[in-house]
Amino acid sequence: MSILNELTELVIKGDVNGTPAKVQEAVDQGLDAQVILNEGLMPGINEIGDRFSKGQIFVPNVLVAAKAMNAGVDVLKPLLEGGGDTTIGTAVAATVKGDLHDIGKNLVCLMMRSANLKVIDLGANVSAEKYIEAIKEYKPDVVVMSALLTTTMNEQGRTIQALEEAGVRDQVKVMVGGAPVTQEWADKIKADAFTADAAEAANWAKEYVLSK
Amino acid sequence: MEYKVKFMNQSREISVTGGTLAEACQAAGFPLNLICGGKGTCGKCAVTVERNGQKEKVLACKTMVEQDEMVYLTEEDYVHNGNVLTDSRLADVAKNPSIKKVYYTKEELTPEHCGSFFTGVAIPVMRKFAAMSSDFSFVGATFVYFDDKILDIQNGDTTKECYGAAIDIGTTTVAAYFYDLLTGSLISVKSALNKQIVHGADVITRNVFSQEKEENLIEMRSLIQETINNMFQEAESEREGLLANLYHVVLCGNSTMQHLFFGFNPANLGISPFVNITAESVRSNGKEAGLDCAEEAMIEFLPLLGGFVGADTTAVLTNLQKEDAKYLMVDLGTNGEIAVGNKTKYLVSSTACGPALEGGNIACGMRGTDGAIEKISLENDQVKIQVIGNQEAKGLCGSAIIDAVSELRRVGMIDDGGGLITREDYEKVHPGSELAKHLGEVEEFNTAFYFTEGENPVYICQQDVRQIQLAKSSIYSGCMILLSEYGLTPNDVDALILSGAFGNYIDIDNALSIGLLPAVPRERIMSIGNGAGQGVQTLLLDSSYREKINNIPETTTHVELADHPSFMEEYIMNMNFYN
Repeated sequence: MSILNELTELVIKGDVNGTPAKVQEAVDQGLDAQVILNEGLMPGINEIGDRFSKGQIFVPNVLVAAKAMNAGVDVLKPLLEGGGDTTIGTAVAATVKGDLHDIGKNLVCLMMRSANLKVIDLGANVSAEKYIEAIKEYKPDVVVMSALLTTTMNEQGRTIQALEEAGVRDQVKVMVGGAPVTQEWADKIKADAFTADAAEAANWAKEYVLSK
Repeated sequence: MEYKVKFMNQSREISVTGGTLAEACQAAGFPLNLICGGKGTCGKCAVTVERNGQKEKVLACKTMVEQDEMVYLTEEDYVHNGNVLTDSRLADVAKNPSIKKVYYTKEELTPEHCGSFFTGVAIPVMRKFAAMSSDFSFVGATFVYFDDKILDIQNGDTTKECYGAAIDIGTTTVAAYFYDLLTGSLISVKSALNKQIVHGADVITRNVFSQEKEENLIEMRSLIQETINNMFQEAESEREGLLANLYHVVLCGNSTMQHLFFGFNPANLGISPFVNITAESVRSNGKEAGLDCAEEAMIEFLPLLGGFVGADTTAVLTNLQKEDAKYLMVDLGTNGEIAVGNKTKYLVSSTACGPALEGGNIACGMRGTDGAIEKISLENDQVKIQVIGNQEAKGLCGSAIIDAVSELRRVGMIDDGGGLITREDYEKVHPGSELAKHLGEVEEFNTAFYFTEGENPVYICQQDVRQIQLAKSSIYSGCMILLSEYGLTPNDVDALILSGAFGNYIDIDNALSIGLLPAVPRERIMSIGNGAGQGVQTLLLDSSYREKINNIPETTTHVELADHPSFMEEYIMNMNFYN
């Protein structure tokens, strides 16, 4: 097995220590950092996203794989062009006001980072004002709004409304998600995308950024 | 005359003052299957009793209780559906009710010259007394005291009739226990579906509905009043005069149930920081509360413990008040409540484990009613199932879902990550396996294990296992975080108490093996049935518990799991299976 295939397997396995060690080994062998990233690590996390969407693996596997991936990327960063900024776009992510549940949102952040997006994580219980500030400051391509409760998903709609009033709505694509959220709800509150899980969210954001 | 009816197999004893043996079984929480409606024609209510050392079969619907009875009930003898919540084993609580009645003759009552009858009595009560005492036929009145306060005055001598009710308002089921407060004996137990369920199965959905418009909130309040009043009327039909003399109603329920019972808009409870209108014990009277008991009755709702942790948890903790023991209490339901500690200090939390453990969000899931598979074993390469009501299997209830996951793990069909493997892969490792023939697919990438065949087969599929992984991890992780906040390990726990209907039915070994419960030594784990119901009954029967109960919120700290730093990692990693 080539060292790149080995890297792919390590990410899939979620080997948080083995992955950066193997990345270092590949670097020492003289492989190009961009090649290690694109042909070693990325296929691993893509495979994880795919298996997760099919239900073959579950959240713990995604978490450890994303951690392994990120540990590997940390080794590569100084070697990559532009001081290690390999990101293809920017996302601002948060759980909306009134909701403290951030596990789903955190997974989305992990998967988006693994998909080579720069992610600004604003945390949980985040007001519309904070979203607007972040949009002005970071100029993201996509904005993620998560809500776990039926009582708090209304806040997604209110936040989108506030973005509109602040005149920043057109600058970004708004993605919504969370247990009670559906495509119908997303349509109703005029969000740009609803995704059912973290892998799908990362995929949507990646494809949107690349198509821009 | 009062007779004792002992249920030998269930170690339960109740006192009754007449009625049929079938009614006594019902009151004790073991309703019989009265297919013919108690006419004595179907023979379904035949039960074994022991009299003078001789066992004999009698028709319970036709047998009047006219002596102490020893009854031997088997599991098949009584109906389990719809009665999951009425099982409780009340500890020996002192008979010291808050309500007392005293009769005074006209002569005893008449104050000195130019004096007055009362101080500190409610105006409607004084008005009523003024009317009755001015009538020339007036001979005396019965004073109803709540501790030393006069609640009400009744014309004539009614001291022989003094009743109380303890009510546990569950999101799904409401259980009511009626007591004769003179003797302290349980006279009837009723359970009914909470009528609010038409506006959502869980508290969040009902919360959203209630805050939409004012009428909705009013409707939700009426629905719970109706639910309770229907049970009141049923009890009245068994004992005439019960409601007019029902002077104490002790209630518990989760925070949302408390808000809706009193007609408080629950909006603030639905979003962070999840505040209650009042967490204190709330007192009202029968009229204000809209209940069909005496208008002046004391209506008492136990205090809440913060956020979603409500008065039902307070009620459970009422009987877990030793100082030297360390308890871990888990109330399994759509919202799992967890408490760690003892009398001096409790940490509590709620964890949204979803409806999976009650059969919700599960492809073939259903409640524990007739037709539900309740037990599963895959011993000896064979599928063995037990169905409630001994009929054709229609689905899986919570206990069976836990059995299924545990057994599928044991035989190697579910891997550590929760993957349900395909028939092909299983047969590679277990050639010739009979069980392998039960593996199939409900759709692409969704493997399933079939328990029954036919047009509507009962199965558990990959997505169901995922739901169970989420649910079991939320309970387990919540327990582990509260334990570690308290500085304890599972091994330090003296008693793991499972409360609630569900805890009563699950196989504890299987719950441990799938990692639903922390690894507390098996012999220290016990299920107490409806612990909340026991708590409200305790206060109804013994007023000395009031101080202890009101002390619980002061020694209890609510821990918010969602923003706890290690919750996310614990929660995710505990979705795996480890043993």
